[in-house]
Amino acid sequence: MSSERATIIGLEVHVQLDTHSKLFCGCSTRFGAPPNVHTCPVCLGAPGALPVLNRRALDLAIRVGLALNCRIERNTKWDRKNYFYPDLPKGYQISQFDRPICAEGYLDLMDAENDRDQRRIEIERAHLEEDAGKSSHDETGAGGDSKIDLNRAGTPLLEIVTRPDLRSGTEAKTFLTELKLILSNLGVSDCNMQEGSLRVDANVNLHLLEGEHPIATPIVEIKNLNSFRAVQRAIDFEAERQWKQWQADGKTIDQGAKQTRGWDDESGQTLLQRTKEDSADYRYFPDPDLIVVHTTEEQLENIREEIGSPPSQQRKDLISIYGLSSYDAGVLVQQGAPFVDFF
Amino acid sequence: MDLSSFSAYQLIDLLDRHELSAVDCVTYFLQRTEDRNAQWNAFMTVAQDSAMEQARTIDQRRKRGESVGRLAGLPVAIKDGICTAGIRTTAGSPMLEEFVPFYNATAVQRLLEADAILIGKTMMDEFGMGSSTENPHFGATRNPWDPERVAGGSSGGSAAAVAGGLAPLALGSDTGGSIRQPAAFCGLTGLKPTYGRVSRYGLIAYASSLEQIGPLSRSAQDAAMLMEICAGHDPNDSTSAHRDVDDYTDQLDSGIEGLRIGICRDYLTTGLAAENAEALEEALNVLQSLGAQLVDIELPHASHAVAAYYVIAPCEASANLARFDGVRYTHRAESSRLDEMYSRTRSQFFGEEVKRRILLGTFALSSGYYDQYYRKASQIRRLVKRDFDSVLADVDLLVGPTTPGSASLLGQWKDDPVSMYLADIYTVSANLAGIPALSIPCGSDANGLPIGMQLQGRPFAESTLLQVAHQFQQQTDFHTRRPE
Amino acid sequence: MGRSQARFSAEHTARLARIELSSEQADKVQGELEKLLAFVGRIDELELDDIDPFYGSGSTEDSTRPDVLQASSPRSEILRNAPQTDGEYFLVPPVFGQQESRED
Repeated sequence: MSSERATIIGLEVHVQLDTHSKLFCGCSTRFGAPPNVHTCPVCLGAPGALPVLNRRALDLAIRVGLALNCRIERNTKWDRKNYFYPDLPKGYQISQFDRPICAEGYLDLMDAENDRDQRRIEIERAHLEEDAGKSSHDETGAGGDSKIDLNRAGTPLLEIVTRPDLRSGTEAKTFLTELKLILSNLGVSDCNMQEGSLRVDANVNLHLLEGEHPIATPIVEIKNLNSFRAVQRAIDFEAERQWKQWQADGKTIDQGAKQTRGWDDESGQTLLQRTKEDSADYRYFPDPDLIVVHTTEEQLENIREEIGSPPSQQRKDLISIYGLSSYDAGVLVQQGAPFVDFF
Repeated sequence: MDLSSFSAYQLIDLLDRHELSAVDCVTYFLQRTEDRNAQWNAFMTVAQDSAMEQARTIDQRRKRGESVGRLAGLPVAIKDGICTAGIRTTAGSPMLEEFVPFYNATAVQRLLEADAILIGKTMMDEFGMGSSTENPHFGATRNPWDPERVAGGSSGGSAAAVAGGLAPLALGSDTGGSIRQPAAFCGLTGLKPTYGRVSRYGLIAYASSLEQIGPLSRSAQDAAMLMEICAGHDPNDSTSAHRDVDDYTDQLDSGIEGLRIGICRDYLTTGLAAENAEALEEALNVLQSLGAQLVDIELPHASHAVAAYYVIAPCEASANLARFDGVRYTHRAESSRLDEMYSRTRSQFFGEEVKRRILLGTFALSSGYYDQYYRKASQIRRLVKRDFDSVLADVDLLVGPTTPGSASLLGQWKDDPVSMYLADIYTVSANLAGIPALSIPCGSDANGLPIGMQLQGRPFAESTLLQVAHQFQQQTDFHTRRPE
Repeated sequence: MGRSQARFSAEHTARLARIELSSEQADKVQGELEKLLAFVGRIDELELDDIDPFYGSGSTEDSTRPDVLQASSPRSEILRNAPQTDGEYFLVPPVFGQQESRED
């Protein structure tokens, strides 16, 4: 029996925005400080403390939204996402549920197969949220206490969610490389994956055509992706694993529960972390401590002027105006905005 | 001198004229508290040492001829749900039994900048969730008018402290009536300001979109003075209003002739004790004699306000109280497993009513129920607000009862939360709509217990409410009556 | 109204809220909460289809702050009220075996 298969990939990218202070308080976002020194009543979730939005974080999020061709929500609001975890001080994360700052955008990529064609990857949304702190666990296996450092708690993150438009590990890597270039050129993030300024989760499953019948395999969320190369390898591994799994048990998306798997770079495989039997219940509701934030047309225009042209436009310009080859233009643009400006 | 019956205004006058030192003033109230607090249980924590230290400093500054703040030397009691740096702040919960904040609530900070003296922290229902201050862990606060009765809640300790003369002035907080109802039960003036008028920074949150800090006092004049100090924009509270604070005290003396006062007749006929209705009618006569016009109005959605309130408040509480998890500043129940540590800590150190409301709110927000509960309740909230908007476009303020009856007996609401919730019927609407509301004494029942009258006004029209209350208090003596 | 009450589960809700209930307590809570849900069920009586919900603050003022650093609190103060620390970190029982791990 012959069958066609496609790998369906959606990415969730968490970008730490490059602000001096945290999203809702004046504590520093600097990486590498001794534990629990960049904390105050607000990011500690102390009783009675209240959040106040860092306008710069919102402006940086809007930059990204504009660069990704998103609709900017002019009256954005804040919601509480409720769950318990020791590095989440308030027992909820301030996030955005139904009115994210950026929605419905896209990013065009050169088709890997054919550099004259483009592939459009749609962006579902990009919303602001506060980061959690850091838990470190006893690795000896002796069951020692976990340690909680809240320096990172409250750091501004932009979560960019793509539609499941990516089709291979290579394409995911290309998307991320282009996204990183955009973010760096915009000056919104240092995109340092080692320090956690850029974090990627991938949702992967297969669409199969068995004769006339389209079938989808259960969706797997892959975490612990520490480099773009890891993203590529993990997706390729996962596509093969799901194919074998499908051949072995024939479970479809309706029959199998969504899994979370962690990428193990050394062994080159994804390992089961947990199965979401009943999906988590975050009980989102509007955060009563924060009011709707309005962005005026003038503010939007100012941000639009700051951001300059996107890499895709820069490449086109280098080719058409300066007569560079497509390859040379690509290499130059990849060096970042300062190089292009110099040229 | 028997300072216990003095208003804050009178005490400040004595202090300013050097007829009373801050040390003597504080010593008096500390002594009286030592004598009586065991009986009334108004205070959770008496800040004896820091209060004396503050008083000595103020006296020295006065002696040296330095300028001092407007409340210099005046003792103020603070509800224990409001954070005070260096002074234990429990919010009435075993969870926070040993919690000492290192930051002040903005309202407290402003009192300190006016050189008020923080004399102690007052008893309350746990996290403000209750109407009687019968705290199962820390004991019941008793009403100085009759120790067999409750002082009301949740700011019952603040009310008992002021009514019993243990402090001339207190801060409370009001989420669904928690300032106004104890003020009514204890014969005091109590104001819930417009949402956003007083900063909530440092108020341990129960239901953030509903609550405000406000004064419990012996007169509208004292309340006006305290509001001038505590109100105003605070950059640390995103919901705090930017608009300037009115000169409340300046406006007290304006007459009320021609003011249009709305009366909701349903309130006077349904569920209100006969004595309370009579007292209210007489009070309306007084207001009329001062030239106010009475206008019958209707609030068609008021009867659904309590149900909406008891969805919205528990929903917000379920998230606001998630931070009490045994990790950073609470008691912790021991367990070798993290999830068990959480659930045991929260089971052991939250009281029954708090757990009930957390569960109610958790359920109402849970998957599949949000639209049915939180959204619907918030839609009713819109209707309640529209009722007020349209009525207050026509009249200057509304006058009605604060509570269905006077102070209830201790234990009356035990294990009957629904009856307790229903008694909030007159007060919760103002919280839902965010409008200012004030309770002042307007009579006594057959047992000699105070009866309260509620004034509700347009957003940020605290000045109108205080002015009408002051004019009423110039004609009547209910606010000067004292227990004993 | 009946719809909503029938589905309340004390056990499930208590798990979500991280409140331990013995089976006796769960029975008691089940009854109490069903009563409360019947009480708040009055919100079902009104026709609400076109009503815009009101969440409490109608403010449209700018409530944001500039990206300026403010002093953090001393760590000794931060850790002072904690049940268990090592002077640098908050300590908690091992996170392993946690039923619901962090999700973001």
